Amino acid sequence: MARFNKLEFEQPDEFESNQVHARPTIDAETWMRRADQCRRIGTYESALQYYSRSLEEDKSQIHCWVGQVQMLVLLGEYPEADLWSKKALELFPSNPELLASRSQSLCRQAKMADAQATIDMAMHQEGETAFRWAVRGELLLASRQSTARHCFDKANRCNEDWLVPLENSLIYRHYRQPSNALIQAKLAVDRDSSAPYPWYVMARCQMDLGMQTQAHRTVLTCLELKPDYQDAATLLMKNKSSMSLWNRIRRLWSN
Amino acid sequence: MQCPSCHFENIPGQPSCVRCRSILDSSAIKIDVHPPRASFGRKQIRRAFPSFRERWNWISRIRLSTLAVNVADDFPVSGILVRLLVPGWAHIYCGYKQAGKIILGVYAALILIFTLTVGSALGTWVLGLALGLHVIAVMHLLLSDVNGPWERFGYLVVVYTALMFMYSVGWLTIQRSINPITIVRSVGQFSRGDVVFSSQAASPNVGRFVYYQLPVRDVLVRRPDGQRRYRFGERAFDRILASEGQSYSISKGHLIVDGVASPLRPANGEIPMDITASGVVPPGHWLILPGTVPNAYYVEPLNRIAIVDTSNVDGVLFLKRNSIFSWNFL
Repeated sequence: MARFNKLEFEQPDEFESNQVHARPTIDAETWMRRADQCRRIGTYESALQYYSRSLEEDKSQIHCWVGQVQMLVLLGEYPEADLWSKKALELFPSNPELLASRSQSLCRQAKMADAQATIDMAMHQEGETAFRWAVRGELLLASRQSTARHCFDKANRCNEDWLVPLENSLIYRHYRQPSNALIQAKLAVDRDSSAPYPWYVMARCQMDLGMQTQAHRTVLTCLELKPDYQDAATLLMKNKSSMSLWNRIRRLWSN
Repeated sequence: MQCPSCHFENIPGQPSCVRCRSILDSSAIKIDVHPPRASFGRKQIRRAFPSFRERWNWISRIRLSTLAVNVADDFPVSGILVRLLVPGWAHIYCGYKQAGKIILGVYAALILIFTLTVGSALGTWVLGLALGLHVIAVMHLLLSDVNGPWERFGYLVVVYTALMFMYSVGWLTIQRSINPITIVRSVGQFSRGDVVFSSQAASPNVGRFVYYQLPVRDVLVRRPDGQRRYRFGERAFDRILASEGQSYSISKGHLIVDGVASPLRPANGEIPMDITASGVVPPGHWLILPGTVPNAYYVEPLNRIAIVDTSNVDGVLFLKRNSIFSWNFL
């Protein structure tokens, strides 16, 4: 396109271009930390990108491979999660966390026999982690066994981080058990009441249970902790609309 | 060299861990670290139409059991699934007794009206309503707390397709024994809008009305006012007038079978005065005059259309419905 060659555009000055070149490279650890931060506020899309960035710097970060699969599962992309866990397992064949994440993706696709075999392999590996117990609990939950709760309790005991009960809560929500999900979300809030995401998940569980007033209060707390929390603001609006007279009448009918 | 997976100390230079087979120097491997992603559209489609395995697992293990837990201590999934075939029955089984009775009552009323009006446009509408009620009943029982509109739509499509299949199979099965035929033209004792029922189970005989395939469709007809080519419909109904081996003669509006004047008349009630035909009914054939097919009497020779192979007979007419409250056996 020769006719565009002589057009004048604003050129970046020398100082700016030097600055771009001089930008310090971010190491894998930092990307991973950012990914974990995103995960803790429920922005799984960004978390997934940061895990990928971390792996660009260092492919031996197993935590990031596992994180990617977990994010894909949380984003509802189960076949992709399955494919990705298989790829990661080619690099680290018997890593228990990767096996557990593969089991979770299989379970979400209702391939229960394969999922069971994979989690059994993961459980036979050395050590004990919260994620393995949580996935085992999910499998039991999917097969409607009452022992699922023990596995989630075990997961909560393995790791004192609030993220563990919170992700257990998300599992319960996936299987449409909002009351159990609320118990786990409350536990996450108890562990760290300054984190906004557990409050947000708790509000969603309360909304699922039809506890609109409590949900309203919980979302307000969440917004107090993080005023720019977009998802919480949206949830607040949704909750307000569901408290309208028309919806109350509809609820009377549906109950 | 420490393994990143199991932390085992390997000898330097090893390509993979001797304990867990993990790659030790992954930086040397060229591998894409960006996972594959599902497009927004694909995710929506997956949500609306999950795989059969996923759906079956979900319905059988989670939804029905959750429902059962809500209603009572334990219900076998198969018990609920079987009862879903009759709308309202599964509701009653699961404890929604009042709703179940209402659904079952309305459904029974619709099926009764359909039975009385089968073959008419009203009957078709009523059957559609019954199918709709069945879909609603199944959706209400299984999917009352599915929130997403696309998810609901997906389930609706699956439930509707399954029930349509069930109803189609049922209808085809019933049609083999009872096939309703709507009269489109008034002829003799049959008026337009009447419905006659044909059955493959009954055996055809002389004097019975039968539903049959015409032996000729595209034919040259010689009428008193000239010669014309006619294209007849595929099927017609009329009375069997003579069976195999019997001799027949038609002239001046009279039918003589085996030398004796036959009291039987075709469906239109009379034989035109200006047609003549005679012969013996060949083995495996019936003599059926095409009284309900306009202009068919003038096919030359008449035997071409009046001698019908027994395999062409689709069923015997046994019942006629004049209106919802008036029925006659044929």
